[in-house]
Amino acid sequence: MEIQEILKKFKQINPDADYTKRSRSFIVQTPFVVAPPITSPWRAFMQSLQFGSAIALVGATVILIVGGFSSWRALSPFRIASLDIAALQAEAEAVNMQVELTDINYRENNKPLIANSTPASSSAIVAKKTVSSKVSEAAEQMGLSPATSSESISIEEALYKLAE
Amino acid sequence: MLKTIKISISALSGLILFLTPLAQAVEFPAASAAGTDPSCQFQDYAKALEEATKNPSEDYGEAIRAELKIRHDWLRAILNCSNFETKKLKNALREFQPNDAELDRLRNQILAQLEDVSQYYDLQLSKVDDHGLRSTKDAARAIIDWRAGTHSIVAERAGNLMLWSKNKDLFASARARYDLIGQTIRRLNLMEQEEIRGKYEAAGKSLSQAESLNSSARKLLLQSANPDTTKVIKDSLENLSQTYKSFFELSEGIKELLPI
Repeated sequence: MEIQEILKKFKQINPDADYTKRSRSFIVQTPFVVAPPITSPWRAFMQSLQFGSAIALVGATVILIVGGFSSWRALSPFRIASLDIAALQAEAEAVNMQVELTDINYRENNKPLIANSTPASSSAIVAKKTVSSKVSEAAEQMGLSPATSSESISIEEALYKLAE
Repeated sequence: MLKTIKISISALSGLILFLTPLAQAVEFPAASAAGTDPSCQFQDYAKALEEATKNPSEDYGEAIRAELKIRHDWLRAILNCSNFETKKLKNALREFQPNDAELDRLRNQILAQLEDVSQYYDLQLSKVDDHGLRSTKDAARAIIDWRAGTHSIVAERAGNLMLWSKNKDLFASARARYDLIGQTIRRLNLMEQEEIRGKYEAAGKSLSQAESLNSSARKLLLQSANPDTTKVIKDSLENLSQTYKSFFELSEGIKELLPI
C-alpha cells in the first residue's frame, strides 16, 4: 500500500461519538478555579518558596548535567573495584603527606651540634626544605613546625651566634 | 506592588536554596594559626650585636654595657620563643585524642615532660639579668646542649605519637583497598594473568611489610624515647607508599586488559 493512501485513511479516522460527548460535558462542567488572591505575607512567602525550590531544582539539574556527571564513570567497574585513579591518588597523597610530616619531625629535632661554629657554618645546620602549604598547615596544627619563620634565624642559629 | 515583592522573594529563596548546597560543598580554608611569635624574630638582634662588636663605643664601659644589653635582650627573646614553641606542641598534644589507653598514658607522660621543659625556660629567663658577657655566652651554649639532649627528644616523641596515631587510618584504608582489589581481580578472572597477579602480590608484600614496621614503631614509641622510632615510622610509610604505586600499576594493567 502506498504511503499516500495510508495517510488518506488516517484523515478519515474520527473519535467515537459517545467519547466525544462525554469529554465535552466533563470539560464544560469542570469549575474554573481562580487562584486565591495573596492576602498575607506568609502566603506570599510560601508560594515564593515553592517557586524558588523549583528554580533550585532546575539549577541543580543543570549543574549535574553540565558539571561533568558521567554515567560512564559512575558505572565503571573501576569505581566498584576500588581501582579508581582519583580515589587512589587521594589516599596516596595522604600517605606522602605523612612521610613529609615525619621528615619535618625528624629534621626539627635532630639538628646537628656544631661546636665553635662560624656564622656561615651555623646557617647551614638546618637544611631548610620547601614543603607544600598543605603540609606546613598540618605541621603547624600538630606543633611540629619551628616557631621561627623559614626566612628568619632559627633558635639554634641564634644560640650559636650568641655563644660566639 | 505585591507582585514585585513576590518575584523578589521567589528569586531570593531560589538563590538561597540553590547556593546552600554549593556553599556546603566548597570548603573555605580555615584561617591559619599564627605559626610564629614576635619574640621569634631574631634578625634585628643579630644586626645590633654585629654593629656593637664591629663598631664599639670609644668609651669601653659604655661599649660593654651596650653589647651586654643586646645579648640579654636576645637571650630573653630566644627563651620566650622556645617557650612559645613548647606551648604550641603542648596545645596540639592536649587536643589530640589517641583512642588507645596505652598511648593516652604516654600522651599524659609527654605532656608532663613538656611542662618541665617550659619550667626550664622560665628558670633561665629569671637568670638572664644576672649574666655578664662571658656567662651569657656560656648560658647560650648550655641551652644549645640542653635543647639537643632534652627538649628535642621530648618534642620528637610527642610528634611521633601524633604521627603514628594518624597513620592508623591510612593503614586500615590500604588494607581495605587491597582486599577489595583482590575481590575484583578474582571476579574479573584476571588472577591467571601473570602480570596482574605479580603486581597484586607485590602490593600485598609491601603492605605486610608496612604493617609489620608500623607495629614495631608502636612498640618503640611505648618504650622510653628510642631514637629509631622516627625512622621506623618513616620506613613503614614508605612501604605503604610503595603499596599504592603497585595499586596504580594494577589499575593501569587492568585498564589495558579490559575494554573500559
